[in-house]
Amino acid sequence: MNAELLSLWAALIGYVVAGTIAIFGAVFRKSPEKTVLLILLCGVLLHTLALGLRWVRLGYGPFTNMYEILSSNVWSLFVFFLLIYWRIKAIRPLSPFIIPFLFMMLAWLMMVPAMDTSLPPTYDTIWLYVHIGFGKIFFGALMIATGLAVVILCREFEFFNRLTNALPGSGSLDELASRMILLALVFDSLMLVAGGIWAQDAWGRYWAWDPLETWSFVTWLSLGFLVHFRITFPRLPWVYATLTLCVFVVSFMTFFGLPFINTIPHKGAV
Amino acid sequence: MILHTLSSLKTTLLALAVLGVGIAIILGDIASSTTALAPALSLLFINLLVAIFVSEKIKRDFWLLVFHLSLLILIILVSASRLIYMKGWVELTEGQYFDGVSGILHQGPLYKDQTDQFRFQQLDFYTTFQTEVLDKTYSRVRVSQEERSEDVIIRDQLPLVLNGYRFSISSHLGFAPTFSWQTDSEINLGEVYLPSYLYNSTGQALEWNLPGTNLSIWTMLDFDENVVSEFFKKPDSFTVIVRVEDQRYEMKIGDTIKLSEGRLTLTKLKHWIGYEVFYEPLMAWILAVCITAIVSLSIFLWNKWGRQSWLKPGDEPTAPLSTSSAQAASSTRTLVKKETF
Ligand code: HEM
Repeated sequence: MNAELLSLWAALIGYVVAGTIAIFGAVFRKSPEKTVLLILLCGVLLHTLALGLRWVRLGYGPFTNMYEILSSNVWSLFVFFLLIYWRIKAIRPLSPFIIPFLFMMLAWLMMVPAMDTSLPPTYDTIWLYVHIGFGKIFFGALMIATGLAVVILCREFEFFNRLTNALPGSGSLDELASRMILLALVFDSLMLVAGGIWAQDAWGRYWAWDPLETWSFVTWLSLGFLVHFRITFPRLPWVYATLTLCVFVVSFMTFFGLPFINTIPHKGAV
Repeated sequence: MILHTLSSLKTTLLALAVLGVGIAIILGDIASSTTALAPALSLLFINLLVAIFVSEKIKRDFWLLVFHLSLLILIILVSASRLIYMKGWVELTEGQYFDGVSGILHQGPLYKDQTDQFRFQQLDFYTTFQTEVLDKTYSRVRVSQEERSEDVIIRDQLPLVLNGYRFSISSHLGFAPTFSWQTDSEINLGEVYLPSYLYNSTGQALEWNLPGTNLSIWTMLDFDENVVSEFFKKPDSFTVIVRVEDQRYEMKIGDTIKLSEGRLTLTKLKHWIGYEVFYEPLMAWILAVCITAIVSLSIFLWNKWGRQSWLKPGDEPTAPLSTSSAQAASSTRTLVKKETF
């Protein structure tokens, strides 16, 4: 096995071990937080190494096929999760509500064949990095908001008390979720603007309502709707939480579903 | 009362929902994007305009006001731009002067053609291929402005911008057999733009009309070699097949066929290169307003979140862990200061 694959597998094992310890810690009320942080950090560093080695070997970053895009998103979601876990200590028990999603992404990554591709000529631009970078922050913030929304909804069922009681009250979680949604709105807006600048130079138009552009606008609009729903109906946090889940599904489809179902029209995701 | 309804946040939710319906219409290809979005954008515009004057919450916070004003201006700019924009394309052979677009895909009702105010000539172009897929394109054009002329390279990410018109490489490339048509009174030179080679490599044929006659000519380029292995090259050996009514001719460069109305000679085989042409004079303003909106929203949020922690006092976990996260959660005081998220 070469160094690239070896470091990727080591990273994946690190993620799985850290995630499992975090979940067990939350379920059994133990405090393995430093261990989780350390193993997660090792996982992220090893994954960075795997991505870097591949980058050096091929001469371009992980932007083109499903394997590359999944790998780079798994990396950025774990980085985001690691930062939140490290900085916002009060929501560390949120792990059982986020890690299963991250594990799903890992499983998906392992099922996709690791093929090499070539980079389309339109990818030779700084806007690629800007666009993708903003997108990663947007999706990371949305993931955390969704985890918080799931906790708020789970509190309706006694079954989950053991897990949800370890977290601050729903009022605070609702506030944090709304901040994450606003952060997602800002970075989604930045992502759209950067994408527009890129499309303008690459294809001679900044916006043309191709399926991916249209769905990314739907995502932006649903975030705008969510923000105003909360201001208009502040006393309906569980509706807000449900809507947050819907926005997450729409964004997930836009990010990971559409480019692969419908490859031709948006040349950015061939 | 009316003002209250118009400025209400419920109206905003309604307008955003109508905007969603507009997008569904675009996705379903039921109407043009302009028609589909006009009702929602009008409602949003009125809602925003009245809210900016009426809502104390918006007026109270300078950055929130700037943000919503930017949204208002954005709606105005995007609508204005739909009135005057144009999106079209042009195909040029080596040596040819640009003389207006070859076709228009969309244009606003108030678009005025100004392509006669500048001039450039297509020189050569160079493409690279990787495993028969177009990789990079470099195209050289000579731009003449006020007695001066200058050679400019157009690349994949670097369009030519002249008087607000943007010419970007379109990934359409093709062949153009060039004919001369000689009658008793005149000689005409003309180029036949065969379909884009990269998308129609097996359909290199076109039917066209000889100028001044009713004769329809079917022309096909026939060759048997790979022209896209490293760069887009002309075939070393080729035949141009011409069909006029029931007669079929095979022509090489310099061959002439005699028809009852005149003589048709194949003079050259040229390449053509395609460009997308885009005219959107408000683009830079739209970008500036988008950035203003995002920056002002960020400042508003930064200030608001800095004032208060997300963790409300007394909101610590009901069943604390025996751990550091429980300590962190219960010591709300420190968190209020440190974690403004
Ligand atoms: C798609 C367009 C819009 C977007 C993306 C947007 C976004 C936002 C954002 C991010 C906030 C800050 C929310 C917060 O502090 O939590 C906000 C606040 C507000 N918006 Fe909008 N807005 C839009 C359109 C409108 C319209 C049309 C109105 C007209 C009524 C409006 C009225 C308000 C008001 C009154 C607030 C202050 C609410 C408060 O602080 O309690 N917005 N908007």
